[in-house]
Amino acid sequence: MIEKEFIIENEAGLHARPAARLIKLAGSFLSDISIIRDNKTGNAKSLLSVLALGIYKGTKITVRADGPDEITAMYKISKLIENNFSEED
Amino acid sequence: MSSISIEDMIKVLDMEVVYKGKSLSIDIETSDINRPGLQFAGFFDYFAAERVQVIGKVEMTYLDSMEPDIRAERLERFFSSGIPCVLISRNMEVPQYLLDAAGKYGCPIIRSKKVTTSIIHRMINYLDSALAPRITRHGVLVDVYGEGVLLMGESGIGKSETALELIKRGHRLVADDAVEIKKVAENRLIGDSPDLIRHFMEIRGIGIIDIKAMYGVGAVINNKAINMVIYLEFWDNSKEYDRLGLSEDHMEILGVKLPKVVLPVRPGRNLAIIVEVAVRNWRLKQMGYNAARELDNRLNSMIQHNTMEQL
Repeated sequence: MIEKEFIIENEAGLHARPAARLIKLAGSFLSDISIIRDNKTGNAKSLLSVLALGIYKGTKITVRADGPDEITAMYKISKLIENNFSEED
Repeated sequence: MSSISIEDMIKVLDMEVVYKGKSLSIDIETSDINRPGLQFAGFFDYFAAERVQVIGKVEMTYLDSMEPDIRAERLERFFSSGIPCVLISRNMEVPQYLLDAAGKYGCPIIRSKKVTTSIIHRMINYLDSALAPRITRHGVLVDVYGEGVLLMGESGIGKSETALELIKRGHRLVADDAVEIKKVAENRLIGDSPDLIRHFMEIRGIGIIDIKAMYGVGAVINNKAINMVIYLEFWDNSKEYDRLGLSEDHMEILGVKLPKVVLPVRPGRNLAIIVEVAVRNWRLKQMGYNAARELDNRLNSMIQHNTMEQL
């Protein structure tokens, strides 16, 4: 299991479109991936679960990946978050 | 252990701040309360200083009747013990000596219009619920025939689709995807939805839908006690699924044991009907009727009968 912390820099926060990109990416891995905000945990493969966390600009989140491809998953997700959820790699 | 700030409690229970103290964001960590009569009388052994201290008519009258110097000494000891706050009931006037003693330690004083017993009841109820252990689980919570059913299973197994079919058949949605579960009593779990996504659902290929707008208020409910877990999984040919229903499986959430039924998923299997049947069957069992055992009894008596005849 690996964990990494991020601060969301995206101007509009994690609204529907960026969230959809995130879950699409998360869904392509075998590992369990979750997003943790304060004491709430959301399944990164489920759109509503991620939206329910209410993540806006400046929010600190922790991404946790657990499974056979956790390292690749974390690498790809880090890139997506660092690129402010834009689609290009 | 969770905690709740005095500020939040004041808002919900319609209380008034008499003296703000150092801060109203002090946390209350227990739902127990203390009426400090004995402490005012000088007995401080086993004093529960972490609790909200409730001063009612009796305590107030007693304080008023005390010698000022003894009173000052007891109040000094009372407030110096680090109590979270003092609650005055019946909208009673707060005497200056109490304000002075509280002011020295910056301890908030709040007031309610209600009589003592009534405000204590409401406060314990509220604190019990606000301080209850909670957890978020991935799944869908539906009310089926009045029973709270938590559908669980991997992403993409068809939990939401099953729930949608159940809603169409007249059952009610509590929460999709993220279910917030709260342990309100030793054996009771209440599930509800995070406010942001309440009564929304995600259906692959269509996207986000609003169940309340689409199916009306009759199709949704805000929270529900969870009675059983139905776990959906891909049909595994190497696995032996329950054929009889004599054994019972369980799942533990926040220390509460819930009956669990594992349903294998295969194309063409109408899961909503099977979920309905699982709930009906569970209700029958609750009422003392177990179909598998009944069949077993019939078989046993037939076998016994035949053996007798052969003798």
